[in-house]
Amino acid sequence: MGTDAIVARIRGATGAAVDSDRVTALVERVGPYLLLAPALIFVGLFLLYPILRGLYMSFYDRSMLRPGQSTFVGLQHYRTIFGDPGTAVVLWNTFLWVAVVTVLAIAIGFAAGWLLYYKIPYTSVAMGITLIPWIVPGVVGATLWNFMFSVRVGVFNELGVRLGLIDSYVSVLGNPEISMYAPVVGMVWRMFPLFALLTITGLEGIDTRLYEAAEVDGATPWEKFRYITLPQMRYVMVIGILLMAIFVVRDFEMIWVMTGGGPGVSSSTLPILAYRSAFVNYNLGMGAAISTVLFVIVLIFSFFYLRVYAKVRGDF
Amino acid sequence: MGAASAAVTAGCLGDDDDDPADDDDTEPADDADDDDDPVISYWQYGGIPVEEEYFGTKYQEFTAYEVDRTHQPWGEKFSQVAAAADAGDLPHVLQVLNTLIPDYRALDAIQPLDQTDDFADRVEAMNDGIIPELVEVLQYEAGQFGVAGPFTDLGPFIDINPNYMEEAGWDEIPRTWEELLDLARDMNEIPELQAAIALPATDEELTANNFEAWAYQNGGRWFDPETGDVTIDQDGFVDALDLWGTFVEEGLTPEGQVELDYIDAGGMFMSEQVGMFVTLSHAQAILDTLEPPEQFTDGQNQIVTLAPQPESPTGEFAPVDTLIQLPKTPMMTTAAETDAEQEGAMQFMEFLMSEDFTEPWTYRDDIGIRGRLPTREDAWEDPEEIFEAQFGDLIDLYHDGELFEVAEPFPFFPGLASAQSELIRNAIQPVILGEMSAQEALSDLAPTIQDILDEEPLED
Repeated sequence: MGTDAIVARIRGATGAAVDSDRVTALVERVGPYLLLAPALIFVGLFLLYPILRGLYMSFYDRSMLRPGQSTFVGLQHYRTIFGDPGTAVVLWNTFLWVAVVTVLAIAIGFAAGWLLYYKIPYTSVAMGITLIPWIVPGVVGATLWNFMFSVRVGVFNELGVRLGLIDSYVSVLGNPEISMYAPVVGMVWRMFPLFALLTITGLEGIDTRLYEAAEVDGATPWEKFRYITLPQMRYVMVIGILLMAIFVVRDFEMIWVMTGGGPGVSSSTLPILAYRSAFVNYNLGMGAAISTVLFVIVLIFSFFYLRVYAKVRGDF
Repeated sequence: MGAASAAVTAGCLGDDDDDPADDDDTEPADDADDDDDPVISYWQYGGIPVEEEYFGTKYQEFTAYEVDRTHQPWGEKFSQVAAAADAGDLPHVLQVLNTLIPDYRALDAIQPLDQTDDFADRVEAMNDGIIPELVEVLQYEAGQFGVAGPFTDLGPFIDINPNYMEEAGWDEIPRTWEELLDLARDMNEIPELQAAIALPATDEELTANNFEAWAYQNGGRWFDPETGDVTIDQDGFVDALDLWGTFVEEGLTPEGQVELDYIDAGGMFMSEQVGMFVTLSHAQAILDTLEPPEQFTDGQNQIVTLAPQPESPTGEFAPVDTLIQLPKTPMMTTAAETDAEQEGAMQFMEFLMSEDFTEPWTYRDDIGIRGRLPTREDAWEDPEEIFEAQFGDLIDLYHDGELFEVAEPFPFFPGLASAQSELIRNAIQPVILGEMSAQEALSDLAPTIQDILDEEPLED
């Protein structure tokens, strides 16, 4: 319904002579908010309220076993998070988890995207296959990797024994020294297609005349890559890194299914610790505090993501 | 026909005048077509595939009320109910592990069944014919918070391959911890075996259940019931954990115990990679989920037996030979608020406890549920041949009054699930991985467990 029609209806409803310009101005001022209202209510109810509620709960000692009872403890949960040696291991694991998965997934994703764009025929078919890890439900992927790393029936152990690399089956998921590596492998497998997709998008956006000019100037393939492809891809890369970090830091299922965060806390990250605190140890306040820390981390990544995205929005 | 069964039949068919439910002001519905009847929601947790299939079809024979059944994963039985209790979204009936009663009660998720005279009579009728000691483990605070369900699991047990036992030079089952260690050492010399004994130690409650049963045999307890002081750092727990650590330290277990769950352990036993595995009485049920070869179903290749006991228990409490739990306890939740909902839930629980429903766990029909110990006395008094073949020694103990009479319930206190998780991750796993001694791990853990105990009032 156009503004004129709305003005006419208001006139009809009031039966009074209304200043046409004033009504038009009012509708123009209020109309957008009315249109936005459903979305704002949805965001408020399902995003803002839980976030604020979680933040509020993080200042309270609240146990699932004492429904309706809570005690204000201020910053105690946060002091525990940043002061407890066990939690320090989890924070370090979270950093490693994000850093290693992001770097590896970007390296492999970039290579896959580059190959798909330049070297592999039937790109759409190959791209479809490449996207499978991204499409497969997370729990299914995690279960497959859990099976492959299993100390009892794992394909990697069997392969290692048959190739003579190991004498007998080795426990990866049950060894606190290396238990983190198995979910890292699974997560890189899950995430690299995202960056492959971004890489293809980025490569498609590079003006081919730049390569033609470079060839005229006698540039080698490496020089073309170094001085044209990489600089032209820089924003795609930054966006990819930030997107990847946001996805990875929040991920729960890959680690939970493969190791449960153990043995001990050797492969626990913040989401695992938050779940354990809230639903195993019943400590909702601590679970909320850990989730708040996680939220702040995601917020920082998101802030930079939005800044970069705003800068290059016109390029996409 | 027992009274419980009669009550159920009346609920289903409306033809038994003796049914106490008939005396209630709230008349049971004749069928599920009455628009005023509530739909009874029912969450049932876990079970081996054949049980899950049975539950999934058999409940439909209950026609007095419409029932909305959901089968839920075993591992979610606390967190899911806690979340549902918080959100006011509980089902009317839960069928789940009895040791969660204190936790559920603390959540205000379940209600006592015997809260009115009429219901008390009907609960009494459902208890009739059930082994009395199993009914006792359902008592909490001042009421009964569930009914026994069809079967019980006992601990601690081991499953031994008699062929490898013989090959190791043993013609008798080990009866002490020292003998078990010796048998494991001898069995470890058998070249075909990867290791002597599988000791599942993943982060799931069965690991804790297994260990608790070994520790209680040694006179260990989580806490002193008189004072409420934690006692896991005393010899009862410490020496039991030390024994587990010794198995691993001496290389008597296969690689990767902390990633082997009880299904994996059963699988290794069945594929003859190990000669023994630590389990509860449900060992055969575990193997049946893996579709075992015939020799593992007819008793040739396995002896499921009570685990050996310490020669001289070192704990300060009375040693307990056997612990009892009821994995399929029907409970009425606080979501059953109205008379009609409570009546519907009660009738459905009576159906779940009927002779007809519980028959497959008595080994008297051909559904093929094995490896479970029936809760019904008649199944023990007049045991079927297949039950005797699997659990002959237990049936002998039952007739001698030395099984349930001397058993105690598995640990049972608010915060148990949390305490078990802490025990596994901070004591059992580190000791099995050789990172800490049993004494060190349990001493370090004791304050955490004390905090859990202190947070919640213990049962009076």
